[in-house]
Amino acid sequence: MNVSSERKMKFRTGNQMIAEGAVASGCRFFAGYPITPASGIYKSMIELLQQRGDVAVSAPDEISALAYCVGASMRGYKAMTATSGPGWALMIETVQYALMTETPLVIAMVQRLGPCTGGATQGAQGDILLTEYCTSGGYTIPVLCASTAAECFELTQIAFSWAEQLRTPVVILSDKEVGMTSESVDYNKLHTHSLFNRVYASPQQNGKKWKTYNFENRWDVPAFADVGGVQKVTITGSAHNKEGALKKNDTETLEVLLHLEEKIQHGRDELSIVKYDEQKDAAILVISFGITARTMSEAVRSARKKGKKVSSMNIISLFPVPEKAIMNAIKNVTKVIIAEENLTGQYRSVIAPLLKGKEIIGVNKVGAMITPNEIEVHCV
Amino acid sequence: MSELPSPATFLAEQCSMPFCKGCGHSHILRKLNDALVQLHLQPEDVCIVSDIGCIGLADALFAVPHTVHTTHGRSTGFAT
Repeated sequence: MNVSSERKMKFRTGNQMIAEGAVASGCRFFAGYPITPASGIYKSMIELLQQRGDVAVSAPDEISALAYCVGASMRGYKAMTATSGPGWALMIETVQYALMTETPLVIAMVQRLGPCTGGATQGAQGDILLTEYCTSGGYTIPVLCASTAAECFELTQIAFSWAEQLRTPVVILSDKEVGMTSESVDYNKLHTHSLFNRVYASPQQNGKKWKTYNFENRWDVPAFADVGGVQKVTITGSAHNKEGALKKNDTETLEVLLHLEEKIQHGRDELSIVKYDEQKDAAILVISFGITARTMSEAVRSARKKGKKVSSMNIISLFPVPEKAIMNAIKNVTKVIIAEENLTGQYRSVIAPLLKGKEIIGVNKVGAMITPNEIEVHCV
Repeated sequence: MSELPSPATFLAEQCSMPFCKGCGHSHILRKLNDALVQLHLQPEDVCIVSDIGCIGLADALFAVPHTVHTTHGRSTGFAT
């Protein structure tokens, strides 16, 4: 919703806007360990939360940082951490813990060049698969990907809402270029999203025994009760029944494991966000995300000026994959170009099964940004 | 401190320690329970945060307070 037609310009990085988006979402706890190119979020959260009397903690490492956030969220506070690929690698066990314990969390992941510690100040989009497929069992982690500073603000709010609604960790993904580049942001054009706050369990159970993870349908999200509240909460990162008691392969425990995925999949169409720029009669569709989506826009603009008919799609919700939106966009095209700043075409490998019968072109690069021309040459 | 009476025990009724003979976990958990009782704490003011390993079985034994069973070496992080 636009609040004014007047411009209110500020010079902001994507990292700053993620921090501002988090505060606008009601985030009251941040724990982090500094890492380029995500340190701007760490710095901004310390400044912003302190001003509000909330808590920002410098953790001794990334593992502790995320564990602190889990603890804060279990107490009922919206919590976020921020990191880059090497820190994410350390956090993976605790990301799984949050998923297994149905703990709402937002993790800002600002990608840099890998593998390993790679290049701290070199951009990349090489952590797509590492981010999504970090769980044993391949459970879906919702991932939102921003390509501008303004999107960083808007998508962070959506990330918090999804985390609260689904009781699960959600990743807001960006990259070094989006995170660290300052650009003009018109605050009066920022979209503010209605926030979803976790649903608390009623202390009255109508005679039914209280269960930490109670659900009727497999896709239902259990009502939340905080550690320290009136209901006794039983939490474990190991396989558990609805009471939260550690169990092996009994029927109810397996039901809980299926529920963890089905609660995401059931409403996946509502988690679909793309920016589709359709051109009538186009036989070519370019797909990209993050900073490369901006390169894509430039390439498509240039190709159209030369009379080419090209559509484009900036995929915001990378996961769950917005299958219906992609299937709709490819109906009348013969060629799909997928541009991403990584070596092997990570997202291309994910969506290729949807593109049967289409000519698929991957535009990939490591160590430098993809140029508009490198996309445009395929728009023929 | 709350005016409600604090529990006489924080352990489950007919609590049977599942640990191996000679293991110190049983003694530690019983003494932990004794300490909680002596402190006259209310159930909602207590959270037992456990680690990986057999000590993680503590959640099932403590039926009264909150319990959070965490990952290896990280119980203090979650509890912070």
